Parts: sequence; structure tokens; C-alpha cells
Amino acid sequence: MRAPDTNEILLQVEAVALSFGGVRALKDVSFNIRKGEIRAIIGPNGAGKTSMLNVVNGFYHPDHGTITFKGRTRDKMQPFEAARGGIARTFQNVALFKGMSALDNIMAGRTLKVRRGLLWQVLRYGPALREELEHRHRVEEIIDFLEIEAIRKVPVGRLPYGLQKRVELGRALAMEPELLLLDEPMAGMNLEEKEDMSRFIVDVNNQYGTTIALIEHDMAVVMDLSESVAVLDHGVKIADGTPDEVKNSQAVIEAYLGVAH
Amino acid sequence: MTAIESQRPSSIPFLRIAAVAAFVVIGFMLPRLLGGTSVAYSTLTTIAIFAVMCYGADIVLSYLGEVSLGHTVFWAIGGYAAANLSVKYGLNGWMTAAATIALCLAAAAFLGAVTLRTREFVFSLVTYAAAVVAYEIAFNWDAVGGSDGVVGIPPLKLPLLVTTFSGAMQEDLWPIAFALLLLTLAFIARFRRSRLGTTALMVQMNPALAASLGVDPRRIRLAVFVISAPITGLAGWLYAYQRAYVGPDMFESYFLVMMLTAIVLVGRRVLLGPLIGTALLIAQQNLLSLGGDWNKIVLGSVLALVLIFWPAGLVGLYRRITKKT
Repeated sequence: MRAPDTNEILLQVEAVALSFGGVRALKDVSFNIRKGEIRAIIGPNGAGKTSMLNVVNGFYHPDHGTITFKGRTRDKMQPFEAARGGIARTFQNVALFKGMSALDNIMAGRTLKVRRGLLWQVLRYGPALREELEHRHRVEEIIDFLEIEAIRKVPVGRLPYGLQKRVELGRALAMEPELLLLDEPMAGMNLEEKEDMSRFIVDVNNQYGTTIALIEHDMAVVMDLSESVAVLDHGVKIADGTPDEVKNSQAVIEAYLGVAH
Repeated sequence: MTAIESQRPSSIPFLRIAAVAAFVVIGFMLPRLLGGTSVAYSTLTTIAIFAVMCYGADIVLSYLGEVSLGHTVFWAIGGYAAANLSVKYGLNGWMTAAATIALCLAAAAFLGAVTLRTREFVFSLVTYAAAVVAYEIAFNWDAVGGSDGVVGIPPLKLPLLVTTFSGAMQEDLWPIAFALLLLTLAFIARFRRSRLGTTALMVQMNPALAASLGVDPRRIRLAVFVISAPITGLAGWLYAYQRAYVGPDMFESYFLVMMLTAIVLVGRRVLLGPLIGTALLIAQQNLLSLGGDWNKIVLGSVLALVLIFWPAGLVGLYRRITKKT
């Protein structure tokens, strides 16, 4: 069942600026993400896409501007607070606990959902143990969904890159997020793996109604997938609209062809 | 995470229970197996007490990746609580132990909150400063013993239902020390598989990833630090009864170096590591002692050598050898 596309805004980024030393990574960027949509942020390398994601997720604190998530406006937040608010993410270079199995990595995504207090967790008696079974059940559902039963006990360090990316997606899903941020989910994948990943992204959106924002530098990948696309170049938003609108934008064509400004 | 693995059905649970039972029985009988002399009893009691002391610092070192140089504070709190409350107010062992736990939790919550933003060597430095301050307080505050300390601590009494465990002689103290050691081991084993233990490891392995999963790293740091304190504290509590005297020498660097050496000697994050490390070091001091300050020199040298040549401890050395052949 597809999540109804409403015009309700889930996340609004307003005039965000960010610089590192003298380098201005983001200049006055505004955009929004509507509830239930698949939103793409694209742009050439170094356009500020990952910086934008890191701002939304709380890793970077913008110099100016505000972020409104679920109606709450703020200019600063810690990553764990973003996670608690319902934002999950994956990383460009795959962040996993390498020595741990695929199953344990996905289980790590349940960290937030643990309700029992710290003392209970240390003692691991009764209710805490029952709760753990619940989490385990949820994790098995995700493993089924992503079709990774065969590798559930394999230490992730030994898995091929494409599967590591899939495990990472599983971990993000285990958080049951409202907003899922994917940082280049298809980077470094072969065609078949890219198709699989596209299918999973669409399925997540359809089945769980999760709002998804994904970053890509490969334009072709996102055109079929997303409902709206924002284009960044040198820290500035140069286009925003449906895939077709963006594809035909002169500014976008120039940015991708590297025409001098 | 590891919790899942532990539910794996296999023949291992039975073997494990048998191994643990054998460990407990042989451990308890060990002083008798070693001849039953009072030297055997006192040496093994000391090993048990020092091992418990090490486990407190071990949690911080292994699960936060931080070197606490302030755990002698909790060690001393245990000693001073036992000494003062039993000598001045005649409280029994349960009461002094409860006071030790409460005081250690409070002190660790304070020190943990103060050091929350510090990392690595700054953390070590601040915890060391705390130990120096605590030493000065203990040395100059006559109400808790001052420079003379507290002498004449009565034998440990632990009334339980109809009987009373009493630690008048070294032989009597051994079962209590052994029980404290077992409790500590059981606690550490649970902690390692607990969500707090695994979450702390996640923060250590990849702080950014852990944060994006909703882990508040400061809360974890504080919780682990606070939990570690009463362990070392209870060791100090029992040490006071064993020695019947408590003074500012509880802050001696000897205890600090003992904690760190016993942990790194075998290797971090090994359940029995600190126990084996302590046993090796105490056995060296009691059986092959060079006398006097030489013990400290040996201890310091061992710490330095291990850190320089086998940073992963004896476990790491073993792995390296078995991999090569």
C-alpha cells in the first residue's frame, strides 16, 4: 500500500549556510521533504550533498538557517536527538560494526527501541529478556524483507560491498524511522545490485510509508525512483522539481557538463 | 546482539555449566589444595580482593576505552567506609558494604559528570587529579582518620538468617572474598552481554554511527563509569577488614599500577583477564619477591613492557604465535 502523497511537509530546510574554515559548503540552501515521498538530492561531486544530509541528521550544525522537522523548528541538534525524533540514515562509505554479524548489526538498529532502563539491561532478567525477543522478531522480518537470510550470521566485514549496503539499509529500517536518509545507496554497485537496491527503496516507501531522502551523484539512477529532485552545485540549490523538470533545466545540464560559470 | 547468540541451541550450555561449576569448586578449595597454610589463605584472599579491585577499572578501560587513574578513590572510599563505620558506630558488614556502594555511586556520579566532556589523556589527568585531592582530604581530615588512619577495625561480621559469616581469621575471610569475586565475575559476565555493555562497545568502535542510532554517548559514559565504582569500592571495603587498618596509603600508586597492569597483562575484554593478571602479579610478589620497593619496580616494568611489546596482552601474544605457526 502506497503512502498517500499529501502536501504535508515533514522536513523543511530554511536558508541553511555551512562553512568549514574558509570553505563554504552550503550557501543559503532551502528545500522541503513532503511526507511519504521519495526525494532525491543530486549534484556533482563536492556539491554539498553529504553536508546537507549531515546538517539534517545533526552531525553538522549550520552557521545560519533553521530546520523544521515534524513542526518543530531548531537550528541545532545532536545526532542522537535526530535519531530519537525518527531520522535514520546510512553512510556513503558503509558504516557497520565490522566484526559483528549481519544480524547483530541490524539488531544494533533497535538500540533506541529498548524501553527497559539501564539497570534492567545490565541484569537481563524477566521483562528485559522478553522485550529482547520482541526486537529479535522485528529484526527477522527485516532480514526476510531484504532477502539476506543466507548471510545473517556472517561477519559483515567478509560480505561483498553490495550486501554490506543492504545490511546497512536493514539497520536503518530496524529503527522504524519516519524519515530515512540514504547517502549514495547505490555507489560502487554493479547494475544488478543497483536494481535490487532501487527495488528495496521503492518497497520500503510502499510497504512502510517511510519518507525517503536519498543522495546520488548519478542522475540516471534517481530519475525513475524519486518523485522530486533537488539539485545542488557548489553549495547552491540550482534546481528543484519533478525529475522531468530537473532533467530539462539548463542550469542542471551545465552543472553536469561542467560548463564554466 | 550477543544476546541472540547466547540463545543458540547446542550442547554447549551443559558443558559450560559443568565448567563453571568445576571452576567454582576448585577455586573454593584452592587454598586447601595448596596446603591449607595461613599463607595460602591470605595470598588467595589478597588475589581475590585485588582482582575485584581491578574489575572496576577494567570496565572503564575495556568498555569506554579510557584509562581511569582515579579508581583508587573508590578503593579508598570502601576502605574508609568500612573502617570508620565499624570502629565508630559498630555497624556490621552489610551496613558498611551498603554505605560503600552508596558513597561510591555518589562519588562516581560527581566525577563522571565533571569528566563527561573529557577524552583520553585529559580524562586520565582529571581522574588522577581527583585521586590527589581525595588523598589530601583523607590525609588532613582527622574525622575520617587523618594521617594516622584508622586502626583496630573489628573482624568482618555478616549476619545472614540464622548464621553469621565472620572473618576473624584469614581462613574465615577467604569464603567471603571468594564469594565477592564470584559475584563480581557474574556481574561482569552479564554486563558484557547487556545492552549497556554492547552499546558502550558500539560507541567505542564507531561514535558517529552509534550516535546516528540514537545512542547518547555521554549517558553511556556516565552509566559505565558509575557502575564501575562500587566494584572497586567493595574490594577496598573487604581489604579494610583483611588488614584491620586503613590509612592514606590506600591512595598509593601501587594499587593504581596493580589495576592497570593486571588488566593489560592478559588483554582487555577477557572475562578472566584481570583475575589471571592479578594472580600472576601477586604470586610473583609473594613467592618470588625481591623484597621492599622491588615489587613496585617489577610491577611498573611489567606494565611498561607489556604496553611496548604486546599491547594486546598475553591473549594477543598467544594469537600472534598461533597464527604464525
